[in-house]
Amino acid sequence: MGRTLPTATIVLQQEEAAFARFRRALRRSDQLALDELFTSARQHLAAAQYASHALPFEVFLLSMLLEEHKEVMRLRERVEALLKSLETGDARR
Amino acid sequence: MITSIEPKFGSWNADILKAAFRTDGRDEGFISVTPPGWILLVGPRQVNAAMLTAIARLGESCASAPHGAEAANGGLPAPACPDGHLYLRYWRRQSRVPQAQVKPPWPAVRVLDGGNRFNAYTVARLLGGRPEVLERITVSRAFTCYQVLALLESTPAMPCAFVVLDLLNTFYDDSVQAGERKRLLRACLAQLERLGQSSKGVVSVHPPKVPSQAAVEMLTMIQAKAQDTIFIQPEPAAPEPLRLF
Repeated sequence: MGRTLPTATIVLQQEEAAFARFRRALRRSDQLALDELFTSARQHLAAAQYASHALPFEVFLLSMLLEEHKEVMRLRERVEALLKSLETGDARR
Repeated sequence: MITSIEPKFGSWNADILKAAFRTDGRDEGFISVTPPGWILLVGPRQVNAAMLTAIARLGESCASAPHGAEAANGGLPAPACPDGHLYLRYWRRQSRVPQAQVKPPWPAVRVLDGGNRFNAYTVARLLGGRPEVLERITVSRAFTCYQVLALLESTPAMPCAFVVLDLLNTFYDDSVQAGERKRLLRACLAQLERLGQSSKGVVSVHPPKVPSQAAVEMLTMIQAKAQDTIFIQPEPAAPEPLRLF
């Protein structure tokens, strides 16, 4: 018995291959950023497979967005912590 | 060397299935099931992508059509279907309900996949992931020639289009004796005839990877039963655009 649908891993590889020419046209710095986006989508392949969405690329985009939002949240926490430390430093002076 | 399965004439475009089903040009776009029967498409495996495009278009046009029983049957009285009586009574009493809001109890397109050729992601992408259309395309798969027969036997005759993808794929399996394969194919053709009495259908066949005499004989058997046979020659690939870097 064969698989009736390609797996999420295969679909992501196909999508990545489909964007190969787009990637090639980008600057080197942008290429690295694009690679990071696909890497972040790869982190949620199991969830994408479980979702069995009709349009898997939408799930990959959401995975990328999820990782970006996590990064924003991490940075926001750090900024808040830095602001707090600055405020406490000012109060001591 | 097989010569009869290789493309002989004709050229492929995505509208060929639409033409085969004789969908009319009006906005309703429903399928005319007269005359009933099925046609045979013979071509290489590359046409499968265009076949999926055609299935998506067909599903789209059928799903957006008015879902009256008469409309689905090309203006003819609806034939009996397993739960058709209940549906027809409901339809006539609820005449104020806009036709587009009432869904018939049968799908828009039935895909019977004999070679694992149906890629749901491709069709979903072509339809923009619209669930109201996707849920009206049903797919059934078979992985052996015995399963193909069982699949066709278990498919009820309904007034909706059917597409059989790569019917002969499992029949090329040498582990089943040629005589047995032909017997199964004969039974399958009888089932296709049954299905073709109530709706229009398309059956696709691809050439085998390893040519054999049995494959030629099986194709001849199918051709004899088909209403019409179209040999498809894939369009030559477009020249690569000039790369600047």
